[in-house]
Amino acid sequence: MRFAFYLPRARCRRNVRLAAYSRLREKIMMLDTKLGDDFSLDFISARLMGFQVPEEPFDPNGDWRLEYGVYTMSTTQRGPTPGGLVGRMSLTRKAVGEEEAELTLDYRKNGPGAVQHVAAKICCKTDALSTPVTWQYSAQVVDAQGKVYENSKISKRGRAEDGRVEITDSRTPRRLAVSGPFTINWALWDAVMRMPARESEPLRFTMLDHFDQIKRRQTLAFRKSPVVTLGQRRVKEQTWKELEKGRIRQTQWATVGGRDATLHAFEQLGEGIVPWVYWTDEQGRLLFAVAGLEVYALKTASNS
Amino acid sequence: MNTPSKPNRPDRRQFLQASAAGAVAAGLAPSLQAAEGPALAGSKPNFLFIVCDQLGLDAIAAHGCPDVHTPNIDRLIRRGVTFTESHSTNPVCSPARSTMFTGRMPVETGVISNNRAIHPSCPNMGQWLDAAGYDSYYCGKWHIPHGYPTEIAGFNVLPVGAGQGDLVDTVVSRWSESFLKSRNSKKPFCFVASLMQPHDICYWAIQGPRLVPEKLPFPVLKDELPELPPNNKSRPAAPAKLDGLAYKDFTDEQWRYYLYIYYRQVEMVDTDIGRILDALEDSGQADNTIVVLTSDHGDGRGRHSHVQKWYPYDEAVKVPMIVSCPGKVAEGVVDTEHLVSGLDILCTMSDYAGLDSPPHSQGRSLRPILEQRPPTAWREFVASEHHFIGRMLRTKRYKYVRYAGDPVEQLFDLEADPWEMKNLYQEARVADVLADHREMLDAWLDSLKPVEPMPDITKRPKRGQQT
Repeated sequence: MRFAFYLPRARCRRNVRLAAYSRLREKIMMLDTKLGDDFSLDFISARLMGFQVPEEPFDPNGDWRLEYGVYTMSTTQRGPTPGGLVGRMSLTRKAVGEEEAELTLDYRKNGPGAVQHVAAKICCKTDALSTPVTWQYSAQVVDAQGKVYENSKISKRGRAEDGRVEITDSRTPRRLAVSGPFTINWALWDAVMRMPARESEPLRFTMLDHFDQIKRRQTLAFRKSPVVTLGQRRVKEQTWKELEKGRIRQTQWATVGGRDATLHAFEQLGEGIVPWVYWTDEQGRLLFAVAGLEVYALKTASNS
Repeated sequence: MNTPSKPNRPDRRQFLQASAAGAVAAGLAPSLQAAEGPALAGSKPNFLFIVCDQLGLDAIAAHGCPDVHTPNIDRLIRRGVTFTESHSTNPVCSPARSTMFTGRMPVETGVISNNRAIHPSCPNMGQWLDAAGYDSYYCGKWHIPHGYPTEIAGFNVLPVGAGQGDLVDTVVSRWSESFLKSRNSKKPFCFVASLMQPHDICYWAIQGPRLVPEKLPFPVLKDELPELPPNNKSRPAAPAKLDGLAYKDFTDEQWRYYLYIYYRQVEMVDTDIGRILDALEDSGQADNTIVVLTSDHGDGRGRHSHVQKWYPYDEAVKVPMIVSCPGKVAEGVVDTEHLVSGLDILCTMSDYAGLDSPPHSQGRSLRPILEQRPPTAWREFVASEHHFIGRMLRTKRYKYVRYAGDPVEQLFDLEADPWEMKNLYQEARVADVLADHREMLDAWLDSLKPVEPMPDITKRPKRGQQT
């Protein structure tokens, strides 16, 4: 997908107005939208208007592809796309035998003048943490015309063996000591979907942040399974109020439609992260991930 | 392959002409020429300037914070000099940054509040170092005036896109990594990696209960929350504009959860700093690259019931200033002696680059301290600006604060009262101290060369006002 960056001035002004309008609408929605009693869903309720829980069957242990919108919940630095949409991320899983799977990540974050593109493959075990065995990763920044910026490209490979992680690029290899269970933040998305939705001891592990930096003392635990009404739409209702002299038009917003769905919440806490809440549907499909201002909402999902 | 743009590069002569004719008249131009000659002949160090946003001086493990893990900032501290008396010249993003990048006080750069551009008479870091043959690159938050511009005069900009620190800082650290590992040029570089965390904490204050609910959202954290600071409820007598900023909406538990989040965001930026430092080591250029790490301001962190910044209290004003370069800068030095500020950054770089400090800068080169050569004499105080009309003066022992048009002043004895809980300004026993500080502040203000504030780009010009 391509993002437009350089717009004629009149279009820019119109976009600024549209963005301001979109922010105002969100504010109005935030004020009177409540989704269950969970603060993380409440916080992103404006993003969830009209969200439809996919009805197709989904097997998290099989082969699948999930695509997410990446949003910022901040009111500034929201980029050129209305609604705080700052990028897209897709994750694909392919089973490799019974004990391993291959995850493919495609992450694009857009903004004025640049799109950061990350592509990665992680070969991981099918254990509770989707423990990575080997991975390769590349990142680059491209401009609006799709040209790669000079000195922005980097590729790395990593492998984990017996409590040691080795990461290599064109320079010296880096060896990291990792004791105990570990995973990569993106592999955790696969792990969450296969995690049982019931109270149990939290998973404790070390995490490799974006493939190369260690974050220790992480926990991931099931938290709750609330019923939430999703798929609602906001509609504007206008009525005329008769006054002694003339009449005035009154506008009210109402929420209509939607259907109840049972969601499962899993929480990740630890060093170097604000708390993450992962929301899956009853089949294990990851619908939303919320970490403070950083939000991922499912766009499309498919089993293959 | 796309090359980052480097627009609008006026030369030093243009600056000297523009920055008040007095600069040339005062004999600066000849001294610049003299400095350039021999310096250009020798090898010059690179500069890696890491800017954090909202990182308080004591929010770092190596500076004594028990609630945070910052292994990467700590290693920079171990390998260099850290200044514990380091101050922001104005604890607000744009003004503080304008000082870092020009060596001038915010009233002199025209950036007296957020979203203003640097006055054209003040050369920025990229423009200034250009004369010494440096290639300058900028990656990350700028905010003078735009947050993430695609062009900055004097710098090649590496655009990073939208989002707050959570979404942008990894792009910044990754691009810094690829730059450091792949750049192939014999020219010295100045690379600015401007990270945004832990600034995201602002939203936990702005959103209030939506992000910091009254009921702890993660009950399992109950025993892990940081303790409240001893001055959480302290409200010493203060000028009205300052006194009105207390944040009264949080319960003790909400404050502690707010602190928990802040320290996780500090750890987030520490991770990105780690990625950049690893890359510098792997690039083979660490021995010839001077790393400077600082922040524009701190965060209230519940002290004096404050969130955010803006105040002259230490939680907002004191910021890290860490300089490291193996073989060139002393290692493992914690400097508790010298009062330093953002004014000194460009002056220090200029010294290493063989340039004079920028015209009219009141900054000092930290080089003698970094190399453990005692400077002949050091300044008696540092100053800071607040809310357009407030001024703070910090001497070794005292902090003095004054706001125009407000009878309440502040004087804190930081030796006896490090948490700034007792305002002494009406106590007779310190009348002489107060008088001395008033006099020093008056003299300081007289020494500055303020310019007309630059327009705030977020505000519409008043009718008839020129833009």
